[in-house]
Amino acid sequence: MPTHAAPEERERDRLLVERAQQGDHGAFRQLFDRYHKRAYSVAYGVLKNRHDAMDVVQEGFVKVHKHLASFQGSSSFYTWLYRIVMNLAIDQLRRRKTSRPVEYDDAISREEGGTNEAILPRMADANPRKAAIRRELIEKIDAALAELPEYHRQVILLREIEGLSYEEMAEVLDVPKGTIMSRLFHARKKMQSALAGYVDGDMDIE
Amino acid sequence: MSTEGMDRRLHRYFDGDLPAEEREALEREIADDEVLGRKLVALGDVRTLVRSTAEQSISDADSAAMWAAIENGAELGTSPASAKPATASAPQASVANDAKSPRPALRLVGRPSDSTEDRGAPAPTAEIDPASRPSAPVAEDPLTRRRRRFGVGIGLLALAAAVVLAFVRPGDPAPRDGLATTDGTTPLDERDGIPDSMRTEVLAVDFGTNVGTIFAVEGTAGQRYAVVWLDDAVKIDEGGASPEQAPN
Repeated sequence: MPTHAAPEERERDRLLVERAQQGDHGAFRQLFDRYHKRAYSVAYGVLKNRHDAMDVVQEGFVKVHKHLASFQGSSSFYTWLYRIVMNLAIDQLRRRKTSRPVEYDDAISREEGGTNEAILPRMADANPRKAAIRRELIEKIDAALAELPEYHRQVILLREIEGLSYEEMAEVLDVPKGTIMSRLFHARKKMQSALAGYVDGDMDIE
Repeated sequence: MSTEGMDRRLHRYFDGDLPAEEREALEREIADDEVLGRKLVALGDVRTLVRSTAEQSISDADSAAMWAAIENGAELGTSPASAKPATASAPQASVANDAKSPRPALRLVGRPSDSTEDRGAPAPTAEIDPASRPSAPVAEDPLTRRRRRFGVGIGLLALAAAVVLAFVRPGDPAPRDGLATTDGTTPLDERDGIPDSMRTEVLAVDFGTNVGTIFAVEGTAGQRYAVVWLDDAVKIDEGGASPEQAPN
C-alpha cells in the first residue's frame, strides 16, 4: 500500500493522474489498485456494511473518473478521493438512518474468521480464554466506533487507519486544522473510555 | 501546564505534529513520568485496536467486482448504483421482491415466426420480470403444454375479438378507400385521430399458467384501449404453487 506522506508516492500519483486525464485507461486502473482498498476501509468504517461500502467506493471512483479532467492537482489525489468517498459514505449513512438501523452484526461475525491475531499483539494469543476476550474486544471496538458521532468517527478512521496528517484530514473534511485536532482529541478520549480495561495507561478518562 | 494541555501535546507528539524542539523536550518528560508513558501506550493501543478491525474489513473487499462496476459506470455514464454487478444486494433484493410479489410474471412473447431461442429475449419496454425468463429450454410435461396452449388459444381468440372491436365498430361507416395508402397523404389514423406513433399492435400474449382475456374498451373521447385481463383466481396449473405461496 502506498505511504501517503512519501513524496515519491505523491509524484507517482500525479503522473498517473496526468496519464489518466489523457485517457490512459491503465493509469486509472493503477490509481484504483493503489487506493480502492483504503477507500473501502474508510467507507466501511463509516457504514459498517460491506455492500454499502463497495457501492460507495464504486460510485466514488466513477465520480473521480468523471471529474478527473477538472482535477488541478492542488491537493493530492488520495485526499481528493477520500473526500469524495467520505462524503458519499456520510450521505449513505444519513439515508440509511432514515430507513433502517445501522447494523454491526456482520462486522462482529467476521471476526469469527480470526485473522486479527497478528494485529492484537498484547491482548491475544492461542489461549481460548484470551480468544474469547479478543472476540469481545472486537465487539467493543465496533460498538465504540458506532457510538461516536460522525465527525469523531471520521477523524479516527482517517488518522488511525489511513494515517492522514492533520492537514490532510482538514482538506478531506473541509474544516480547519484546529477543529481536526480537537475532534481527534475528544474522539480518542471516547474510544479510550469505551475500551477501558483493554488499553494500558492511566487515562484520566472524563 | 494543565492535564488536558499536556494530553493534547501528547496527542500531537503521538501524531508526529510537534516541532523537533518540543518533541525532544516532551520525550525527556515522558522518560521521567510514568503516567505520561502509559498514556502514550494507551494511544498506541487504541490505534492498534481500530486498525485491527479495518484490516479485516479490507480483506472483505471484492476488488474485481468493484472494478467491473466502475468500468461499467465510468464508460457507460451510468451510476454503479444502477449497475450493481458488484454486490449481492441487488440480486438479493430482486429475490426478496420476487418472493413478496404474489403476482405471476407476465411475459410478452415474440412474433409467431420467432425462433425458440428468441422467445422471451430481453425486451426493455415489455419485459416485466427478467427472473422469469428461462435460461435454457426445459422439458415440459404434455398436460402443462396442453394447458398452456389452451390459455394461449383463448388469448388469441380474445385478441382477434379486440382487433375486430377496435377497427370495425358496429354502426361505424365502412372504412373509406385510400385509408391505407402508403404515400403518407392519407394516414391510417384519420378515422379516430390516433397518430401512428401512438398505435400499438398486440401480436401475442403468453398467459403462462393463468387464464386471461383481451378486450377493447372505449374511452370518454372515443379512444380505444386494448385491455389485458389476468385472472389470478383461476389457475390452470393446480400443481404449482399459488401466487400467494411465494417460494422460499
